[in-house]
Amino acid sequence: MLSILLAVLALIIAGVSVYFGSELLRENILGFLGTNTLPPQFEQQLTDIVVGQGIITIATFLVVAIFIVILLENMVIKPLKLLSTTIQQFGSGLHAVDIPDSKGAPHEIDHIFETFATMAKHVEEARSRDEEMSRIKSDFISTAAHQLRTPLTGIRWALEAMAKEPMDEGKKAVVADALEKNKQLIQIVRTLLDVSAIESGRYNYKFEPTSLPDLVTKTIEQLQEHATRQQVTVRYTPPKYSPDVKADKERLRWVLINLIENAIRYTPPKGSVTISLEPTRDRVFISVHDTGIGIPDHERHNIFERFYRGKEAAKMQNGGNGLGLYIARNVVRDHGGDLDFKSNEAGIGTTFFFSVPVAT
Amino acid sequence: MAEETERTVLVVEDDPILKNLLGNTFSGRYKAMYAGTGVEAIQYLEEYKPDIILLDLMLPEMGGFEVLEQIRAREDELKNVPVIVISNLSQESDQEKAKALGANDYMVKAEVAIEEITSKIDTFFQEA
Repeated sequence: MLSILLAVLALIIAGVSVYFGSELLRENILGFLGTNTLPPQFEQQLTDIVVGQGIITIATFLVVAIFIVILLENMVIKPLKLLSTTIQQFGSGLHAVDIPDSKGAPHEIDHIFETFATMAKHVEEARSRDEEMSRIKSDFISTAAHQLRTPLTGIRWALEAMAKEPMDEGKKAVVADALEKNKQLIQIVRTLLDVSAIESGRYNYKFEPTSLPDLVTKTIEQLQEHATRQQVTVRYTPPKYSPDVKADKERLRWVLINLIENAIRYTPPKGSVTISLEPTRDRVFISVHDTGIGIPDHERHNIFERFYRGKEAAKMQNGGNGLGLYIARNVVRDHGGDLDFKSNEAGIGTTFFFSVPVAT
Repeated sequence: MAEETERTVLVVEDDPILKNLLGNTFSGRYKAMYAGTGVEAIQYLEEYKPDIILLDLMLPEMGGFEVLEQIRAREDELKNVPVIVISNLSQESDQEKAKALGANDYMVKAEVAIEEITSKIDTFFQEA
């Protein structure tokens, strides 16, 4: 395309220069002879010369143009096209591709080829390193799950068996405490494995139309005992109508459990936790409000970090491990939303909120 | 009651302590047989024709997935024996794989109380 354009352009330039050239020549001759007209035979000869010269000039221009075009085509355009195809191939899979031969191309083009080859090699190396890391991580998850959980299972089952034996109240309490601590450890292992799974991209979501009001109701039922123990009132009025959302039921329930459990955990006795659902046309907004200890502004950016625990939160020995919000935010983001919160200065409470898209 | 002790549970578990703990809980409730490897599991399956199998996944000699595969590929009536996978592998992919291979249920070992296992077994027996 470019070549044809160049050829046509060369032709036009040649034509125009011959035309103006011949006019100039004619005027010069007339001026030299001091007349206005030439005898007819001179006029004829002059025309012949001009036309002959014109043809030679145009032909020369054309040959040169064609030569340039061919040269351009072979030395620049072809190699660049080849490179562009190769880049496309590489881009679609990031797998090693054969770098085409750039022999005969000018040094600059050759340099582009070399640069691309080097880059492709680095990218390819990074990709396989990435795959290797992901494999190691997955192996680690399986190994850790097995190595840590097997002894924890033994302790759990042994304590459970022991708890059924007749014994005095004091001993019973000791066994119950041990069992509680054992369960905490099991929970931590579970959370760590969840984090590893999230980070290695191994969470396979199953999105399906999900009723949020049902999910919230069930979650609250599940946490009611915890709330009663903490003397926290959980309030929730389901909306009259709420469209199904596109969600992974189990994962979303996990997020709700974490947010509501957190809210209960950090709310002093006699306080309350309020859950509200607000359906709009495209999304359903969910918020969990508590009257708890609040999150100071300077901790705003840290609380979603892995293992981070607020200063006040860390003082409370309540089973928090600094991972819940990190995972929750990741899960919400994978649902196409974001998890955020508003909090007044410590003591007045916190509201966590996010939204999920309506199922189509 | 007498009828219930007739039921045979094949426990496939390589950890001796977990095996004992399960054994103590099962004694008096079911007739329990124990296999410590995948190969043993297949052998005992044929020998004792259990009513249900509790199957661990990470086993020496032959893994639990393969045991499951072999059971479901059988051509006799043992093919349909209910299998509850009870493993400490909790990745979704493992659970899906087990279900796809024909596991009737999947429990993450550390996360269930021993009583939950017996009530799960009882549920299967009631349905049978």
